[in-house]
Amino acid sequence: ATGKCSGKYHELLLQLQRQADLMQNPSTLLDPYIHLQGLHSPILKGSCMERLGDFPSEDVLWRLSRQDFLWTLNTTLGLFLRMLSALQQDLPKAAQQQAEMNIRGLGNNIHCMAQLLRGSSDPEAAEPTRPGPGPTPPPPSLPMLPLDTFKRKLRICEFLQGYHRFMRRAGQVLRGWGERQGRNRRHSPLRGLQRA
Amino acid sequence: KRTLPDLKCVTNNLQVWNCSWRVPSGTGRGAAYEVCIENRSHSCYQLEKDIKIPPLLPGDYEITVNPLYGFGSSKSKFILNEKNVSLIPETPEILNLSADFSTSTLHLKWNDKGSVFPHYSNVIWEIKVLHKKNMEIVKLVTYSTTLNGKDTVHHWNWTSDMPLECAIHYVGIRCYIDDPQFSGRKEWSNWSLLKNISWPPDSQTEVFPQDRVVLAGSDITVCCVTQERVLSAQIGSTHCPLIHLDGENVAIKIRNISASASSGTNVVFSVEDNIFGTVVFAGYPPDIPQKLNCETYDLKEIICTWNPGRPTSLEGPRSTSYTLFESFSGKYNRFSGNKVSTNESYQLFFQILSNQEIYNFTLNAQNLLGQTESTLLINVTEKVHPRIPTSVKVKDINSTAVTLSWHLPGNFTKIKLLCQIKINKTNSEHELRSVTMRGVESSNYLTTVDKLNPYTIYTFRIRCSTDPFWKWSKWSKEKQYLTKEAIPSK
Amino acid sequence: ELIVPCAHIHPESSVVQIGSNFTAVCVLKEKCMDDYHVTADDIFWKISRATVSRDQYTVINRTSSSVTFLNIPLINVLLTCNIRMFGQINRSVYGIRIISGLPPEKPENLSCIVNEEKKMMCQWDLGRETHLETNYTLKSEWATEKFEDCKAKRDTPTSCTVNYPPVYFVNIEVWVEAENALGKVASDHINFDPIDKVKFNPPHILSVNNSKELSSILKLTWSDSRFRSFITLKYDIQYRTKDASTWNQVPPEDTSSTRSSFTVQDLKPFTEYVFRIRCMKEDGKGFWSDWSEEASGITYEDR
Repeated sequence: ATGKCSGKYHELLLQLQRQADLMQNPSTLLDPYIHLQGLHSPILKGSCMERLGDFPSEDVLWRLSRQDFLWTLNTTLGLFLRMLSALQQDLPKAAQQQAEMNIRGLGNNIHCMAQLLRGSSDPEAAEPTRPGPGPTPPPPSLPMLPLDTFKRKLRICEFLQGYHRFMRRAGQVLRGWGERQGRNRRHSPLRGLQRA
Repeated sequence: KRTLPDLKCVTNNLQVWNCSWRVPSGTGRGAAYEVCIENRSHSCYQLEKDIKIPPLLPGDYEITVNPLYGFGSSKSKFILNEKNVSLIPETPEILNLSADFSTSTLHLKWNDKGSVFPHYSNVIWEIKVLHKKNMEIVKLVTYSTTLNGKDTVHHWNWTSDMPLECAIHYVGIRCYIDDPQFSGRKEWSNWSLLKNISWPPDSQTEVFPQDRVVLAGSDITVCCVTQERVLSAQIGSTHCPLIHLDGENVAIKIRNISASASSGTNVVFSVEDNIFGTVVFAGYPPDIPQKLNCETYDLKEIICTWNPGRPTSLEGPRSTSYTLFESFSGKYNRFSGNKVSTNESYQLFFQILSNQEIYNFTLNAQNLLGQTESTLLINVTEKVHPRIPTSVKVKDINSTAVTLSWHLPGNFTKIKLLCQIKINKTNSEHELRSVTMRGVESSNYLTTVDKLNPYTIYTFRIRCSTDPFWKWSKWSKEKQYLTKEAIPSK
Repeated sequence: ELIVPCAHIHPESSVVQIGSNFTAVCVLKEKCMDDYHVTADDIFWKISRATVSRDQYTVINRTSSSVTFLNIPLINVLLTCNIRMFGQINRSVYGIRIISGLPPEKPENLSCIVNEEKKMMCQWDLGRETHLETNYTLKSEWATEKFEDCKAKRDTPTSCTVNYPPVYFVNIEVWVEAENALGKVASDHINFDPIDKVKFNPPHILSVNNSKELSSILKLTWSDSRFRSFITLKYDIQYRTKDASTWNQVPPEDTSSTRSSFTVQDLKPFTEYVFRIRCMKEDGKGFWSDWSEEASGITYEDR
């Protein structure tokens, strides 16, 4: 690392939140894919739903300490990055490149936030506490892609939809950080569930 | 002389006539007759109500039927002629019916049992293909062969436009022996027992064909094999009428399919809260490669370039692959259009072989819809397009002459080079001089440039070609030089 | 077989700083000295056509003579070492090219802009003319990643457009390095979030509608950047009657947040008005978009 991280927690957190907002927008990746693959009819779009297990659930994310959340976010997106390069033939080039850059950019901010939390005196930030034995998220795995082109198209569509939905969930958790920072309260799942 | 009522003589193979007649009412069971034929051997037979007799030569024969026992009937005579005999071939039997589901092709195999037939004869086979639902004939075709006294196994292939998985396909066959020597009636055999082909039933809903490549403008049938009720079907965003097949299976007929986008054309069937589909890749066979040009920069390697012509609409793994084949050496090189982006040029390299100057190239273009080719015969020594001369150096000879040296990569020892030197004097017109020289092993070339002005700044540029000429190299970089001062005259 | 030079000049062709002093030494080869019966005394120096005055020479030894030039001006010349053979024949035995110039100054006023849907372009001031071939390289990096150098083109040395797509909400550090034969220098580093450097595409006015109930108003609707879903924009709306030349400005405080329509009031009834609109980031960071295409509408007749 070149050591150029912003030392301001709030600025960094705002950037993370906005990145999540940007990356959860389907116009950045899913919509161009749908257009390229001719999946834009209502019936096809309607069947392009996130598949459970592709990405960590909201419940899992809420139960993680901040460090674990950052680790999960980084690991999951690192895996997604590998998938993106495997899908080069299927994805519109510009959208794929932008998505890759966005993910690498988010990785940069995750690195800076993790660095900030490690160096922070705030017990909540530095020493992640989880209410009870939070579930360690299953290591995310790349989906097996079917051979038939149609099923492959739909499976990739589900996977990209999952990516955007995961980013929305991550954004919600990050917003939860923002609200609790002042009140030094636990990053607790109940809090998260009451909000849902 | 009367003819027996309902006398019916049939022969399957012209070797035996089966004659049978209607037994008059009131005749007891087990009635028997003696039947005598007035032919050379006045042969008589004892039998019940049908008679197998050897074939009679053309002409009328008196047949006397003498009831041996049984009551209520008396001796009778009648005329039998070949004309009254029907040639009804034996019902054919299908040896094997198989299918290649990937290409929707049925393979039929049957034995013509020619050995039972006395002599050569033309036989017409009629083959029918039916779908189960209402035994609708989807294909009826005739196929002619010749009986040659031996049992011969015949094959017939048929590619269905509907994927074979979509419905149980039944096949039957019958034949008609067109024997010119037989004057009796010739009739079709009975249909064989139907054989069928069906896709192994599976609870999973499936759409067929999967990932089929078809010619743009052709018709294609796509079906959905399912146990659920199909609500609708669409190609792209166009809805299509459903054709109902067996059970809940349905099909759609796509006519004159338009060329697909690079990602193919989606065909979707929707059932209650789910969808199933396939992708059809409609495109074109490769165009004849255009502007095929093969040349060499250095007489070490040939580079062939071409223009692919009309786009095929097929990309990625279905894109056109090119093979450059050289007939004298038998060597070839392959190029896949898979990774070519639109603006990259299509090119292939070919190593120049020692002591081979003539190259007969065939560039073959192939995709799943067809193949084409272009050919080009070249003498490689006449297709040299030299690279840019480099390392231009200038050395004095005297105040009005210099030596010009440069490097021109290439194995030109067997040919002559023609080089041009562009000589510029500052702010004045330029002069072109040509020089021919033999190619050298070292690729370093030297020439003298005289008739220069002393103590003057010149700019030299060089380009080369070959003799016979094909193309000029690009001009070398400029080399500036100040000629020496003249020795003052005494 | 090429002719072996009779002498050698140290240093070889070189670039020297304007205003500095420069000394070159010509060293004759023994063989030539024997062939042509010359020594270092017979050396004379020339710059292009002009012979250098002798007071600038120094004969170092039998084989070598040096020449010194003080306070070098802006030059690009050929310096030749010549000998007078047999007392009468002048011969140039070696030559070098001398170019003078200046080391690059520290690039100033580095700024960057991200035109919507385009890649980031940064520009800077070069400072004084160096008279030399000078390379300007835009450097950029995140905390965790260095990006490929962006080399400014020869004909546009004051700007460079990076070859990677912009990534918003990630601070990037950018600076320029200038380098020529006389030195290398870097500009100050700037650190920013590209989102604060965006110049959006101009909004597109969709409609200008009057109102039967109120003849003094016209309602504008427009579509604008897809960024609107994750950042807040503000707008400038200007209008004029069809024949007027000066524009009226809708008070900025009225259009200081993301919106896609606005009703302009206090207009003259039954009058054609022309509108244009531009947008920028609400917090004022970044650049105003260009003005939209003009669109017009007519207020309703007065009752």
